[in-house]
Amino acid sequence: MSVTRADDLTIHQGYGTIDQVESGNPRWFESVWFHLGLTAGGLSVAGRVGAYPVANVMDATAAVSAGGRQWNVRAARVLQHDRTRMEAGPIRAEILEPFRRWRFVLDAGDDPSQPRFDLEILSDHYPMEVSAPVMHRRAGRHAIWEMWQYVQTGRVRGTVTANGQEHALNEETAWAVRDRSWGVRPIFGQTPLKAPMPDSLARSSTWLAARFPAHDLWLWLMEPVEPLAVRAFGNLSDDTGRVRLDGSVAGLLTDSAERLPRVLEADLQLAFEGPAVAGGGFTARDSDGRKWEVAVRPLSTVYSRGLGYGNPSFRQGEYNGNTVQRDVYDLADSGTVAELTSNPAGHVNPYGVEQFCEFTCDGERGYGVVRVGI
Amino acid sequence: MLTSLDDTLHHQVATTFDHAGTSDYRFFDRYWFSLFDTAGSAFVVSGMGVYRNMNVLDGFGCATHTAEGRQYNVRVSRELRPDVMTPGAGPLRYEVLVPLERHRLVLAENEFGLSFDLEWEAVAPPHEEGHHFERRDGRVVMDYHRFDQMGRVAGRVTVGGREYRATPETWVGVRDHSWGVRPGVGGVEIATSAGQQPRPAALFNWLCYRVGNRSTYFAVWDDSAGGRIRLDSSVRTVAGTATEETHLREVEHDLEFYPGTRRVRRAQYRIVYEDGRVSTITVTRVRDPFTWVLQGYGYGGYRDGRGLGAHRGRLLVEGDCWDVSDPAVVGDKDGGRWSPPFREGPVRVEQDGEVGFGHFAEHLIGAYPRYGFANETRSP
Repeated sequence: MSVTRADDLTIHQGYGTIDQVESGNPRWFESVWFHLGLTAGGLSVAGRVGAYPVANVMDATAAVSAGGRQWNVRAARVLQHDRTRMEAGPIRAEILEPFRRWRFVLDAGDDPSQPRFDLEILSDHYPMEVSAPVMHRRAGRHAIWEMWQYVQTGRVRGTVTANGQEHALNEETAWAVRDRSWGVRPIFGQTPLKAPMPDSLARSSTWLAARFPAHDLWLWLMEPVEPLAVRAFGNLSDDTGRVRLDGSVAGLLTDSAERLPRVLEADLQLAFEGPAVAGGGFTARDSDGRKWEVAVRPLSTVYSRGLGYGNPSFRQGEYNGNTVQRDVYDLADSGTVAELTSNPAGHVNPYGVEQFCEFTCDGERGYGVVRVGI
Repeated sequence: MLTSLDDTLHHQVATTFDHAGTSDYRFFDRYWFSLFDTAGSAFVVSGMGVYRNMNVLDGFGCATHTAEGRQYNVRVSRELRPDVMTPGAGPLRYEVLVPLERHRLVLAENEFGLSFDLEWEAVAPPHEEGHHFERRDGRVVMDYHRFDQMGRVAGRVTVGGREYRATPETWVGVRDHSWGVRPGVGGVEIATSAGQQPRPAALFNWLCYRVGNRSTYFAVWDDSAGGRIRLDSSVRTVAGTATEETHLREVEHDLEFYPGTRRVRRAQYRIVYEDGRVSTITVTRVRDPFTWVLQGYGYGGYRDGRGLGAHRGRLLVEGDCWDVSDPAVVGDKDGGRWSPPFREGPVRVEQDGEVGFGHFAEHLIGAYPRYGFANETRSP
């Protein structure tokens, strides 16, 4: 154990110093993820920073998708007790004001051909948290999921440069979604599971967060391969093979604690082209009785493998010392997309696709992100 | 419930920061400060704790006014939620100005004759104690972590109608921060065996002090036969921005008691460093015979007798003033007198010709023949 500055706050949740987590599970993680896009379409920027205290790793990844190409940077460093410095390689994150302002930076160094960005996400809506831990255990104590998460939307200002073209973003032209999650999750197979997966584990995950002018809507649906009729809404803590749903509705962020309406029902009618959403929509009902009928139109796409999800050459949380990887995907090439959605390493989740989308509901237009993992 | 802390990457369990990873009702996270005038005019002790499973934040501000021979006590308690982020209750509040470097402690004017506004500033890195764990009769009695740190103090204290100015040149501050579970927290203590619980240590001495550029912490636990149960230590030598840490291989004590009591009047230690160097230190009271009475700041105290961490409603502020001029017997305004088994206080430390200051805690319970305590009698 090692005393750090964080130990001088009365925030301890366990018996050890803050650099230690209560679980000895090497998959224990804590991360911030974001995805932002131009409301006019044509540009997505996604990234994440993750800490793995048990594995002594911090990693960070970033992807810029524009003009049919996706530039990826993946970096890792030795954590060495230091979770306050959210940085690995050329990627870093800063909390400028909790819940209200975050900064994300990708540094290109002296190479102008490399993508770079310096972005600030400004949030003025409530964060939306899961109603209970996302929990799924194999028989016995093996935790597949044991995680907490919240989601928050925002607007963006800053600059992004890719392929020599600089994009200036402002609060009117670029919106964002970010999440914060911590605990244990499959992490797309970064620590291979050596036994067959339990039948009760969901085979499909659809996660979406939409920001409208006055409200946000977030929902997460986990389904078996063949959706069942029974629904357990309100949390994802279920090992029975049911379809599981969680979600929330949020309004303007204030300093007082608010009990947010929950999403009680959701029915997805998304249309797909291959692994990616091509259109369609969904309906939902929240605990205030409001019914949502939402149309979805994708604007830009990031393949999660570029961010290290299910990436056989960069497993999130795996100790590799200090390292930086860069590559570029040609999204116009069907072979590349097929490879990005294949599963050569036998991961629990073979692929993930996240898309910045336009949402329309009751004449209002909003923007946000749909993440699909199967 | 989400709080701004949840936006950091510092979680230890898969839930929000307003919850602990254990449901043990005793789980605490607490600051403690001992701040005193090295000339002995006034001693201040203050602490503040958070008890997530009891939904409690409590704290205390106490001062020994040696001119009067009195200890002034102010204790506070409030419900932790919904305001889990504000370190304060009633007239007592803390500010973490720079973690591990500067803290501000404020006890606003109140009806109990004591107030202060003090800033503690570190002069050495923290000493991280060895983890404290004990299981007895199947139950985890204690499982907690603590670090200790030496500092200096500036500000003012008003006690007994007099104001004292604290300056970094004349005031010293010793503090700790601890968290986990230990006995005597939360208002009740459960039994897991018939009869009296076995006492693992008859003699306990804890000392944290600074002499020159060297900051030292050690604690010893002995059984009744004088056998060493445990020695824990950390010695940090500061040279500019660099620090070196070493530990003690041996600590031998030679204690002198106030006649007819179990209170240490003077202590001499022979300490042996890891590299074999030997040193002798002499510990005496900053102002004889004053030591702290812990019940005044809630350890086994509060008027309801339930100690720290017990739920006492939305807000409680209480206080009292005790006669502490006797080294072993405490008197209250109602004529009550008692002899607390555990005392602590500011000390002067002389080591190898140099003089420094620190904080000394002690107890001696039951038999300890070497010092003439031959049976289980518990004289004060």
